[in-house]
Amino acid sequence: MKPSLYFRPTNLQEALTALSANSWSVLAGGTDFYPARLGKPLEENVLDVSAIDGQEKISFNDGRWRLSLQATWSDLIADNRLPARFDGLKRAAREVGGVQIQNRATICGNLCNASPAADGIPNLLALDAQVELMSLQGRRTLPIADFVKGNRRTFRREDELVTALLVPDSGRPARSVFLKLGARKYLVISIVMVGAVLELAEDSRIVSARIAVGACSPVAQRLPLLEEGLIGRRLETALADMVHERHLAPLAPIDDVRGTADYRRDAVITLLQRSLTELAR
Amino acid sequence: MAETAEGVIGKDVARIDGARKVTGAASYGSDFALPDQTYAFLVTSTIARGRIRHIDETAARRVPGVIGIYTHRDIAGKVKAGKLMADGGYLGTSIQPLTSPDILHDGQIVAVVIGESFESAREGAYRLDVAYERQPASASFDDASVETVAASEASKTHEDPKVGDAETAFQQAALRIDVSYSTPTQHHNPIELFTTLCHWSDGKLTVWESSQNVWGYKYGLAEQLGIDPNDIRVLSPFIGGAFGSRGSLTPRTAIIAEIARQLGRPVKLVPTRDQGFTIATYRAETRHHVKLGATPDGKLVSLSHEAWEVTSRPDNYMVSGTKATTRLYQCPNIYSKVSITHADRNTPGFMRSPPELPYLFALESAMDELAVATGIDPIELRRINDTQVEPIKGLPYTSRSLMACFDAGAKAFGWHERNPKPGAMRDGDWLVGWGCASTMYPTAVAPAAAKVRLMPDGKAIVQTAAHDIGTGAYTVIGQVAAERLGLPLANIEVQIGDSDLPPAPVAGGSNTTASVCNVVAKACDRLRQQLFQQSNAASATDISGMPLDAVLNDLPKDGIEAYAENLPHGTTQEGIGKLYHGHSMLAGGSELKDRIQFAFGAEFVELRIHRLTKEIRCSRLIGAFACGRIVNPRTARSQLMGGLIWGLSSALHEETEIDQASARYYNDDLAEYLIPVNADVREVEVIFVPEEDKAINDLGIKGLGELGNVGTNAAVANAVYHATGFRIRDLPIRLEDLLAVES
Amino acid sequence: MSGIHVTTKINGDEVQFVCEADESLLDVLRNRLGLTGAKEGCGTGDCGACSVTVDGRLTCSCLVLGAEVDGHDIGTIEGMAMGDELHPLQKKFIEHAALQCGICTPGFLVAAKALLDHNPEPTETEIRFGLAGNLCRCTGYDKIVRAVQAAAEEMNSAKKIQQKVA
Repeated sequence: MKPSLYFRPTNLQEALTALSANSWSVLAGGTDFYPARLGKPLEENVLDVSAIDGQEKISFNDGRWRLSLQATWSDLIADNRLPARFDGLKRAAREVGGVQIQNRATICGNLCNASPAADGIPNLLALDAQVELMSLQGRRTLPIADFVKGNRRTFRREDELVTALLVPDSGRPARSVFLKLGARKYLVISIVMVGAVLELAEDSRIVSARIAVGACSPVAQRLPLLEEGLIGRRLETALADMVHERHLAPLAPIDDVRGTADYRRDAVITLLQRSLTELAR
Repeated sequence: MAETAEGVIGKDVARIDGARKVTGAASYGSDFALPDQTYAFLVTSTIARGRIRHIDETAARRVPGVIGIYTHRDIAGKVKAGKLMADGGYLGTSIQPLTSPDILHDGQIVAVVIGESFESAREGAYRLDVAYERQPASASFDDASVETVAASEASKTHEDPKVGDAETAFQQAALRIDVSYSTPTQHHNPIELFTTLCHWSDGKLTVWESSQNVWGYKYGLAEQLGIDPNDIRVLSPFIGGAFGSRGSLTPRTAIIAEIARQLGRPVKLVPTRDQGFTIATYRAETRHHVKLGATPDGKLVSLSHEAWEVTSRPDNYMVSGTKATTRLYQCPNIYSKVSITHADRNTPGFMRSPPELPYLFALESAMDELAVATGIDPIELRRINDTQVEPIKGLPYTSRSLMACFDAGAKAFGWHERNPKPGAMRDGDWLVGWGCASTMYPTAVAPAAAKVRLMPDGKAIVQTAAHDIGTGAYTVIGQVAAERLGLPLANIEVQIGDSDLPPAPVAGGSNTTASVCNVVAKACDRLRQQLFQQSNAASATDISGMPLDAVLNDLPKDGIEAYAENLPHGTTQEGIGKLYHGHSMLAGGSELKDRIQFAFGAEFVELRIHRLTKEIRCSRLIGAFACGRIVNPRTARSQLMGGLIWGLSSALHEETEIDQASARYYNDDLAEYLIPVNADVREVEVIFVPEEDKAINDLGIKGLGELGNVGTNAAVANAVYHATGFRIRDLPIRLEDLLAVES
Repeated sequence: MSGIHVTTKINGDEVQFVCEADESLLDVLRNRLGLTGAKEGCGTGDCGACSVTVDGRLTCSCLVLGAEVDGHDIGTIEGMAMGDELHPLQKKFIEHAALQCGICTPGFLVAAKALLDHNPEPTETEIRFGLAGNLCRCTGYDKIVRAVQAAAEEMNSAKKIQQKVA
């Protein structure tokens, strides 16, 4: 038995020094942290990153949006500067839980928690977001797809802190969407979810397409075949008819309490169709 | 007195305890705090059957702040097991943990760790090393080693209602429905956790615990702890949801009381949500086989209802809803049989409408199947088989307004616009389904006692050990006292939820309003009588309308007091003796010799089912109810609306999932045990169908708290059928059940 | 374990307390400070009964450590009424029968107030959405929505009258 430490650094250097010296659980909002420890004492050291200064929550620089480790889902929802490509992520933000959860839970924390059912991940994939990691060794970035290793596991090293998510913005017009299927209307763990971002040329032809599906594989997956098929097409509701079972190859849905694999496959197709219809609206 | 109190009964007034509840001033069980109190944290078993091999306390004892660890080694012999409430005891289970190393179900209490703080107790519990000798456990019906027995063999008092020759009539019937249904395990999940605070002072025990049965707890604890009931006080002024889960004593209370006695300090227990799934009771899963035989024009000629219920190994707990389902419709040939299956589970218990909810789901689904088979409108089918006399013994209903409810509900719902063909009604991508079902709940009334004191300033205090589980008991009791005394409602102080007050029955079976209001009325009448006799202001002949002003001045400083006891129809003098021993002698429903007492209603559901994803959304929910005299339409409406939504939740969401191999629950939190949120329910309408029942009791009150959620289950399933053509016979109905629906 | 010293403001008053590293804000409020209006229903952020505001933001106090609120402002149900004068939301909850057992009521009220503070004229959907993090097991949802609508209306018309007077 070791007594747990609670440490709340006020600058990044302090935080990184602590991470290099000791083993810590990083607390960034805590809305998944506490439920996982219900009825148990804290057995680990807790590094609370909420007081690290100099972290502008959401900022834009050099064609990139930066969502810092302190940015909550509520911060994202309230930020009117964010362009339409974030609409899907904002919609996911409204579904991560009640307002209580949106106000505390951070986007970086949601990603680091790496739940297969995490609502934010499909849209972060669709936004082509990069993860910024810092340690005393320096800074590195990883694409989301390379960061999430599997169910509740990531490639973050023990001495590293996820300091931000970086989202490239070409400045092109874009549309985005997030759809989720659950047994209850709100506050429900997803059976299937879809996040999509389409970039459009002036004649509303699709220039780039990124579509990701969550809760149908250990890590949310993009659907490259479907994305390729969309490029060059004009955005219209008829696109929904394009969706085909063969597009789902990267997915590996499972049977669980919330739905069977077959159902999930059917539901993904329907959600993809709805997503495209909605994007064209 | 300027304000007149006439017509306070039946008036739409706001609840009198509202201000305390909206300011956070209302104190629930764990809101009480005592100087020097300690905190308890439970350790519960991780196996469902076996024995504790050893417990190593070393690591737990080392946690700073841990001051005690209590296991069967400390509690055995100090706390006695008791009898089930249904068997004349006070408990919800005869399994008393910590009396031996035996484990009889998942999540059984195996130790209690006491700390100076909640956190130290929690850590001590976490570090307690318990090793088990694990034996194979049976989860439910389909496990090979369960034991199934006929209820009539298990219990001497059980009766399987029958009349005529159902099997022959069924074989000869022109139309036959022969189907099976099931309902799942469900947990009450009141938002208030199952907390307990115990304190001893001068050999007397005080217990703060949300309870629907303070007198029952007092006597049950006395038995378990081997002390005089007069040395026990149970306090439960506010109850954060109960739904049946706090009606019978659960094992934790005596354990915490005993620990507090041994420790010599107050002990407060706040268990976790998941522990609540196994340390209290629940609604067990049921199975049903229903056979209906009918003439081509829909007249029932045979009705058979066989059912199976799960219970624990030692207890014969059962709900036996055939008492209701064999009496809902006119039918000359009826057969019923209930069996219970003993599995390695905690003992189930009362959960809102215990018998009626699962059993009427089966019958009312089968009636809908018969409506489809005969081509008769479901409402008309019920009209054809309506009756004012129950078919088993030929007893008359004191009042029954089932068809009036259907007519009022159908009108509000627009039922005449329904296209009976399944799948015929659509709204874009959504299949629309309309379903309806009957609802019924027995009206039971129990002996009760009450005291009323009138003060010279015109204020009155009403005392009775009744319970307000959110129903509005404080308010309706106040209304009755105001009207009968002739005082404004604001002048009435209602004291309940305390076992030191005159005894009242368990807040179960929707009896509180009828039982308690009638005795409070009696006490008030008696007080007036005393008052006017004393003051010689009037002859004893007609004093009911006389204002109090004239006589108040003559009152002694501490006022005058009247005490009343009430023995309702169907109870005997023995009921009073039982009342003073913590037993509730509920009389009514189908148990009376001369008549039958039920409240009725008709429930209507509109569902939308997405043709592709099969998402199920409820867009409209309407219930029309006839339940005698409504004391307070505002609180009554709340009850019925909550009931309708409970029924919807039961039909579409709620199921406690059990791992068949280990016999353990696994969705034991509020993230995975789904109850509806604000957005799941849109339009809910409650219609009161006027009904006057002078026979049922003096005030003409029927219970209604458990009426609302009964019919909704079948109404939802019937709406699913209407939307899709798919008959789902197993609750809850989830979208994967509808995958085969053609889009 | 040595205690952590925390300085905070609760309902406008400065409050200092010492807590352990693993003590939730909810337990600090209930067990150390005697503020029992916030209730514990789950400990996992699923029911909202423990809702408080931290710097005006609606939060489940079971998902925050006591130590985390150092230097922050806490608002609880105990601070909603002005003495004996109930807040319009509290009055409307009573009037509309938006409570039954009452255990979820403080959480709903704190959530509703946080909603109206940020959005004084919410639509019905916004209300349902803003209160989605609070569970009511007596299931009085519809009445709760009506009560919040009525309170918002009353507060807005009172504001307009004040503005006119000014």
